[in-house]
Amino acid sequence: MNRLLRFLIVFIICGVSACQKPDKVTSGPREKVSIAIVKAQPASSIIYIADKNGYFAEEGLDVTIQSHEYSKLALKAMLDGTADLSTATETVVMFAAIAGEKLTVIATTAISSRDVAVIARKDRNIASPKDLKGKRIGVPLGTSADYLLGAILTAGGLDRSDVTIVAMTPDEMPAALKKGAVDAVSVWNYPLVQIKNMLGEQGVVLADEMLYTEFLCLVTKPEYSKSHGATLQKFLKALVKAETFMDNQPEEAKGIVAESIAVDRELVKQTWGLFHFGPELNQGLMIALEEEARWAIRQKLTTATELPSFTDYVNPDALNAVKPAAVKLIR
Amino acid sequence: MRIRTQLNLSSAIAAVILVIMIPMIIWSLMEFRRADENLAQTVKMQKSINERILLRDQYLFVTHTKGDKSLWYAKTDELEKIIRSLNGGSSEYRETIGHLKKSFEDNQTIYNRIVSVSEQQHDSEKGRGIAREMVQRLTAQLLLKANMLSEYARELVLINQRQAMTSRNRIAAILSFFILLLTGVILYNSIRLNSILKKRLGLLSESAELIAQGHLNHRITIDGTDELCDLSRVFNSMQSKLQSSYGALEDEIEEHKLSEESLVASERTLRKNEEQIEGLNRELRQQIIEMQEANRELESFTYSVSHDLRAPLRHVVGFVEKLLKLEQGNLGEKSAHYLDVIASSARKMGTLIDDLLSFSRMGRTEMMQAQVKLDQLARDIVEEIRAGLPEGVTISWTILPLPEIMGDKSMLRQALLNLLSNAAKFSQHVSAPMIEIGCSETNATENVYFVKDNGVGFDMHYADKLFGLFQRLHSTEEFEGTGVGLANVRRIINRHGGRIWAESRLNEGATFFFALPNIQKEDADYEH
Repeated sequence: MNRLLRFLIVFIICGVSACQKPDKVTSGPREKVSIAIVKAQPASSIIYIADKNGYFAEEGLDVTIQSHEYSKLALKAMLDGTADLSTATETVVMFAAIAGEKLTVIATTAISSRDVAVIARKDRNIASPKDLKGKRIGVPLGTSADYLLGAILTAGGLDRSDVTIVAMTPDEMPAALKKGAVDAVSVWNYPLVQIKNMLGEQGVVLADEMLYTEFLCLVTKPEYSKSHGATLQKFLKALVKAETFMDNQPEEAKGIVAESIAVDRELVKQTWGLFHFGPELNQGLMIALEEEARWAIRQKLTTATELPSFTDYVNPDALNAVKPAAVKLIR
Repeated sequence: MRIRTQLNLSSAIAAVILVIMIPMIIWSLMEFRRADENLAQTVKMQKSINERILLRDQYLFVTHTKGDKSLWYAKTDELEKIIRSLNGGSSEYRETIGHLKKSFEDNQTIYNRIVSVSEQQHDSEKGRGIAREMVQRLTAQLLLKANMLSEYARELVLINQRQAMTSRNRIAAILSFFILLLTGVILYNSIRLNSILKKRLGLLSESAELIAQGHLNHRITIDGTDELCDLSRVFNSMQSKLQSSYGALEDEIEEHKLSEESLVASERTLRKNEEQIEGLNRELRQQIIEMQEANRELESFTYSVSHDLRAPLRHVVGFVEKLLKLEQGNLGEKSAHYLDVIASSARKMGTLIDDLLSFSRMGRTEMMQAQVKLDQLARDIVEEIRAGLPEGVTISWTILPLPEIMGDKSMLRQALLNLLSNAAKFSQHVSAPMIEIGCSETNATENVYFVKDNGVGFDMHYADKLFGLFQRLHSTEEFEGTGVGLANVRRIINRHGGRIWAESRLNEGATFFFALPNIQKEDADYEH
């Protein structure tokens, strides 16, 4: 009788063990993947978490991260072929698309309506968007900050002709503001918070989350998307793991991010809540791309006169395979 | 473990399982109901969101009428109520509700702004252009946020569906688990009990068969403490007793066999002894016959001798008397004395011969059986003796009631006469002689009579000589007699099938007892 009982127990344990999904163990050389990202950007946090926590390695990927100052440069690196993948805001993607670049968005990794804002010097009599009239405003052209600036100007009853647009990179902004070369700048985080902290009481943030939603896109070339479907799935799987980690252990995640990009942990904390992290594809991206493209054409920021079919610029296959619930495109 | 304990334990486990299972199922059903209600609510919300999108598009892109705008607001109010009613659930659910509320508020804000900007009047073309730009941007964001709202609503529906599914699966899992557990417990107990019962009953059955085949030394091997083990112990105990009883029975049978054999041997011996006795009896009877024949011949010889001696003896006496008469005076004194002695001796010898003849006759005379009234006979004899007593001798006679007896009256008279005469003879010299005759004992077998006197008695050392022929315990000078009387009495009593004995102390009297068979007339055949 006892022998029968022991056999049943062993049988059940074996059955339960067989049903458990084993941790992925990879053996052999890992597949090399390079990605170009914006280093000082909260939206890149999920990439750092996946990398530092070894999720890429778990999926058999050897990921090299290239850091760039802003999205436009990161996307350019990918388009130039120096990276397999890149992150880029939807504005940058839109401009590249209407410029005829061949690219494919495989997912967005972060969404925010409060990442980008205009920050101005109070001593230049700027308290609201309408006060920007006649002011010099620094902005990285062709970026989300450029689009947001347009929205803020519109909210103030102004258009681009009412201000002086000064093209500059985020790195140049603090000094420009400090020495008065510009009265305001339109920029994303972390530079935004850094400038705000720098200006202190002298700074005023002009933001309107009802006018702009930023999507950080994970972009690759169409041919890479086709030839490396499995690689992209592994990459996205690692991001899904990172998303889970960020949801479950946000404080630890913030620490990893701060350490990765060598910024103050407090800075990371200040911007953490502005984002919704995680790989997904929703219809809002398509709306944003189209609207921004219309805006670019209206503002004659591009030579294109017709909207491209942005549906062709999005490939949800990899995400669909990894996390189908995250694909919310209307097709 | 006891079988009853096992069964109780199983019932207790089953009860515990039910006690655990029922609240879990109730809780799961409540969860399922809540999820189902939430699902219905979110589906309703989703429908409301879609309707509101239609109203939005109708106003923004088609009619721009106040009516459509009011309808949108009405729908917004309805949606707000639904959203406010959403609560509880998992952290994911609550988080999604939070996102949904934010999107809803954003939608409302943006819509309000669109309406506001659209309704503003602008004097300049630039102003109108900026307003259009603003409306376009807001509209894009409205679409985007509305899409998000729809997504969050869809997500809530999915969460609720998942929750409902999870609750349903949980109920199924709980039921399955507990049913499996119950089944397992029942199965385990059934198998265990079956195994125990099979083993124990098998052993019992096997043992019963072995016992039936006669293996009484077989015992059940007991390796437990349950009721069947108790039964097995009782069985073993019964078996021990049975074996012991059987052993005793076997011993008894053996003893019985031995007894039978012994009995058979005894019977054989008995038969042999009987045969020997029979042979001896035959020899004895033959010897008796021969003795009787010899006795008869002896008696006949005695009688003949006695009878033949009487005539010459009479002649001796007669001639001596005649000689004395003829020579009276011629004879000398000495011669005369000698002749007197001769005559006297001859007469004494004649008496002896008469007694001897009488004794011989008693042995030869045929008995005449009749009912004899002994007390009457005794009284007659007493009168007779009393008359013959010397002058001056007075004896006190006591005759107690004497039962009648079957016998030869003349013989019995002779016997009584001898006994009473002896009593009178041996007591007449005491100062107050007393003689008593009576019956000391009477029963179905015999009557015991006695004759008691207070005379000289005798020494009991010589009691065995009393009834011998010519035996005398006193000298002739003291008490005359021939020594034939008591021998005669014993012969009479013996011929009647009785017995005689005497008790006495010297000078304190003597008692003679004689027992006669108490028989009826038809059975009176006691002479041997």
